[in-house]
Amino acid sequence: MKNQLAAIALLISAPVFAAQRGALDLYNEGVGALRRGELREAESTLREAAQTNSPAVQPLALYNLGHVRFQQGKETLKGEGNRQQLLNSAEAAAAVAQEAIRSSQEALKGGALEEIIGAYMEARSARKQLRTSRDETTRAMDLQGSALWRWRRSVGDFHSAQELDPSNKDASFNADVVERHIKELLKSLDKVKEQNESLSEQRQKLGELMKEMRGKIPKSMQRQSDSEEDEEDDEDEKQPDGQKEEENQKPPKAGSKQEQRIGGEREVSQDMAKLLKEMLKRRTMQLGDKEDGLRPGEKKGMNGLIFGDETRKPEQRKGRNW
Amino acid sequence: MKTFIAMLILMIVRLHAETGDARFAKGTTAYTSGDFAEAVDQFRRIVEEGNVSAAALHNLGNAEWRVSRPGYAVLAWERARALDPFNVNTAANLRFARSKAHIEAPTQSWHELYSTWLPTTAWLVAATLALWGGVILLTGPRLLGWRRADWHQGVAALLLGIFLFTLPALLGISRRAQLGVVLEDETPLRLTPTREAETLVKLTGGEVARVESERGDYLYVRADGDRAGWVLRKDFVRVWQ
Repeated sequence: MKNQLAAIALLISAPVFAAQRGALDLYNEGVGALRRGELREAESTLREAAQTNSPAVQPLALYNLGHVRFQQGKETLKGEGNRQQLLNSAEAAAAVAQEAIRSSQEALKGGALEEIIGAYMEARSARKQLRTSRDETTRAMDLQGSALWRWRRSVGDFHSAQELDPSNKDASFNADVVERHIKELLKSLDKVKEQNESLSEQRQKLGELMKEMRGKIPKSMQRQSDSEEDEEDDEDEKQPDGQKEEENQKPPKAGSKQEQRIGGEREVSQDMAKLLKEMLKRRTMQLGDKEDGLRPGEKKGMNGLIFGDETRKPEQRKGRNW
Repeated sequence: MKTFIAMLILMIVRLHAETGDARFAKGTTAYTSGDFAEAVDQFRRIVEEGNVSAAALHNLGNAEWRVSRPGYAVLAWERARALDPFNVNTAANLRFARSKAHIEAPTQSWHELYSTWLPTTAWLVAATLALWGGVILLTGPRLLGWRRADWHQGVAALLLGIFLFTLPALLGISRRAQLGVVLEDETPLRLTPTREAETLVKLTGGEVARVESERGDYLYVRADGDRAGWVLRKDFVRVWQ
């Protein structure tokens, strides 16, 4: 009779244990991927683990998800290069443009054709420089926006982990650390945005002056290619800044990256080659670097009594291709 | 003394009914004169006071729709339909609201659809009468010493047969009890039952979803298209509550 009751109890509880097991497997997979630095896989697996709603696994999955997203933000920022150098080169381009604006205004006032042509050429070169700088700052803004989104999500994950498991003080500590990083990033983002806006304004001003100067240069002295190039530049201006700002607020879309990869026959620039090289290096990077001050990601999962099998690693399991 | 108490109860019941009727009339007048907020107030108070009727809920839904609260309107119409599944106007309003908001009607299993063939109370009464009638007819002669007759067994078999037919409907009713309506637009469907949870998707006001589990201030719901996640209790109301 006792055996029959035990069998019935086992039969009833089997689905519960199976569900718990599934969540645990996903969690282990996620932590394994995090340790190997495969952040995208870690993110998707830990999200799945959190979505299983297993009360034991959910807070731990969120805690580690917080780590994954913080790391993803850091990885994203590595793509922007030296921030100070970027600001310096933008400032230099702005100074050159300022000088070109001054020369153009003087040439227009004087009315001498030679001076106008000289100022026009100077303005044209300054405008190109501005365009390069503006593109760089825009790219930096995009990257910082993307990192900001991930870090904000990371704070949310750490807070959620602590809400589900109030004894997890590490989560609250980590959330504070990420918030400090966010504050710093916001300051930098403001600077870059300000610089970007000022570059755009100068470009617009230079464009207007160039148009005015073009009107004063006889048609016979103008090259067809000059006006075409200038018009191309003008068309780039037409993209509204608001759209860019909106994009910064949104999470990065996988589709948009894909589009870029598929769409163009682009040559890999030197900067891009450098970036790719760095990213390839990072694939083998170890977790838990001390500079960010975060407490290690795998800690909670590895010492939890709930799971029991501390020695069991996801890699040891058979039959799953991950 | 007994007569006095009975009269008192009768007076209270009558007064209650009169208040309900008066509110209904007030609500209808407000609605026809274009004062939809007042109509919402009157019809809602009828429901809160316990004078729930399909007509009051239907009109409450109409008034809510007019004050641009589609989630609340769909909730009121769904409740009206639960009480009176044959009302074509309520069904038409629900169809209209869903087409306007581009929301799919909830997918229901066959026993849930079967349970809508009759009002809920009708199924419950039929199941109770059929079960107990059958049991009494089968056991009565033996327990109470009645004279056995052939019709006893025939009617008992018929009643138990009816009871069997009500079983899928009862199951459908219990499943439909888990259905609820999202009240506000842009209601976040969360990954976890926490304040700062990741938003998986935003639900539209008026969407119907099924509650699968509960934890603290949150309900785990599954909406159409297999979108599952946690919503705040205050953002989601069960149709039968």
